[in-house]
Amino acid sequence: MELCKMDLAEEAKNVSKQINSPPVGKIAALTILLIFVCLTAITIGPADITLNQTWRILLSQMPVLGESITLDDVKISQQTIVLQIRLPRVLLAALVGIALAAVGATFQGLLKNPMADPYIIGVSSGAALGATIAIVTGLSAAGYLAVPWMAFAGALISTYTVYNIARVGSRVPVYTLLLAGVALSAFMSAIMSFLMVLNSKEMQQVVFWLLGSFSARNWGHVQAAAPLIIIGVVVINCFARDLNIMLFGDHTAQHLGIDAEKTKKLLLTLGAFTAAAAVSVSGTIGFVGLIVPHGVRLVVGPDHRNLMPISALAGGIFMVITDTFARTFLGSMEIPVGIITAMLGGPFFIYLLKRKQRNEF
Amino acid sequence: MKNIYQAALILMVCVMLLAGCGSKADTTVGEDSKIFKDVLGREVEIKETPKKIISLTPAVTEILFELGLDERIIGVTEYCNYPEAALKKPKMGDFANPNIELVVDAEPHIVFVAAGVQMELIERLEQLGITVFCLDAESVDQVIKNIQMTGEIMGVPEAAQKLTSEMQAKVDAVVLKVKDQERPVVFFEVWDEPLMSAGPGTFINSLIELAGGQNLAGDADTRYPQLSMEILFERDPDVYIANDFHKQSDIMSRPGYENLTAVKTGRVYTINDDLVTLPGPRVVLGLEEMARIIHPELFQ
Repeated sequence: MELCKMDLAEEAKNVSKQINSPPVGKIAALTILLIFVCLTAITIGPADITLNQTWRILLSQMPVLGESITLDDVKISQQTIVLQIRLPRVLLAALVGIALAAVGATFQGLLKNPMADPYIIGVSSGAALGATIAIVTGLSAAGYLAVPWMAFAGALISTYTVYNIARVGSRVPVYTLLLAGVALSAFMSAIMSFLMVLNSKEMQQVVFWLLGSFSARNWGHVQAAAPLIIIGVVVINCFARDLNIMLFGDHTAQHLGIDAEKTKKLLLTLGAFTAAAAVSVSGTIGFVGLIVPHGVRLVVGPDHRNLMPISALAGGIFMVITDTFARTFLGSMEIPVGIITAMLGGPFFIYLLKRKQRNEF
Repeated sequence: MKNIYQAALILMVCVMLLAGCGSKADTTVGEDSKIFKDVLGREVEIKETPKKIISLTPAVTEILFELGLDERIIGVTEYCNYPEAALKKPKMGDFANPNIELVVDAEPHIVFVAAGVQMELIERLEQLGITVFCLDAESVDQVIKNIQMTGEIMGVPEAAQKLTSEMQAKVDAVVLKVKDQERPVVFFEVWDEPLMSAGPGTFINSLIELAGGQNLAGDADTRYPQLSMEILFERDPDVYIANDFHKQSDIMSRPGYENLTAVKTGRVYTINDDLVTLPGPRVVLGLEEMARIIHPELFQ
């Protein structure tokens, strides 16, 4: 009896904690960690640039401080490396990580399915097909943003098609959305493979794109993807509370004052755009959108007001770390980052799972 | 609703920060500089004879070594393995995905790339202020032109001229010998699973034709067609050539192959595929090897 009362008291305390506002402290701490990880990543690379030199190169770009920094002992090539190669790459990795994790968490909540990831409604297969068409028709020669734009278009067209297949009148049942996504993905993958077989010379380029990578990415990619990702992630986070309520099901949510259909459509659209923006500049990097939200959920719980921002930040940190690893591990050769995300993330997630299981028994 | 305003504020700040980033290398045309056109039709300005070269394609690495320019090479790819001295040069990553940071750090005067998978690299490197020159070829003639161009860019036109006339002489000798001979049907196996050959527009195709053979896959629709075994058996080539990864005995003992004329007459050969795919100076060796295989009675 006494034990039950104690448990109830615990529960009451937890519930009251949940009604409170989002964990500003945790978000601030993670943001600082993200910035720290990014700055560290910028100092790492095969070219021989000291920590001190890297710092000065970065600081020299600041509006006011910059004038007082001397760069006499720093070669132009080193400045180029830090400012034009490493900095945009690290920023892009952070943005893509944030995008994928945030959208992954959103879709897992929206579709009430733990296997959901940002690609599940057709984003990745659409983007892959768009990129393949761009590479195979030689459009990719038109400029380095040709493939990203085609991938973006492909992702959106694919998602729109999936949405329309699953739609019943003005409602979108969640289970048909998932199935339609799977079916259309299979179909688009088949077309893509067919195109690859017909154009075996370009196959290597396509496969490289599919593996996902941040190599040879520049400020153009950052400028193309950043606005969409930032708007998307920030606005999605505003709906964290609504996502909590929608977990109870459409009818219950409706009775609790949420316009379930409108919210669903809005979140799907935002999620699709954000994921499409991420995939178009980095290729289909798997695992981040699926596992990071789960890992974060195991640590901070399922309340989306915690889960969403912390997943996003954790995704960014994870992506920057794995990308840094991918570009330094083998010396002069780079490993596609998607391989590293799976290799690092899988065991880490198993560890978290085991820890939670132990705490429960 | 308050959240939306916060969101908009964050967004505006980020966009302003990003707008300030990014720059382009500035270009000034000097008086001494010459303009060269690479195989993609790009007009590349070379201000002065390049002293620091990076070659991101094995074919050009071979050309540079052959022209005696190896001292000026400061970077090659992991795949540049000929001549042996190339293995000692600093590595700049692999062929499909070179390490841009290392390339920029080495401060080259010129970087050579191939077409195809490296084309996206060109824009990226130029943005970083690097001079990029694309050299690639699908015919022996183009290879000779490329070598000539390289010689002119590097300021060694005489060495290039010597090399190209030797190469041309060897090519002409082969072509002359096989001129009015009967053309055996040749099948070149690019890959075994799936069975792939080289069609029109490829190096291998042109070498077979020059060496006095008839490419079995010469009428294909694509450049590297995947063939079904049926076509192979239906057309029954006189000569079967494969990559020297495989052993002749392994090929001849493949199931069903004992019915092929080429196997029955023992005319199954293997060749080092670098000799017939790399658009460099060794392509002449590839041609001579092909000619020996296809017309053994004419070439000893």
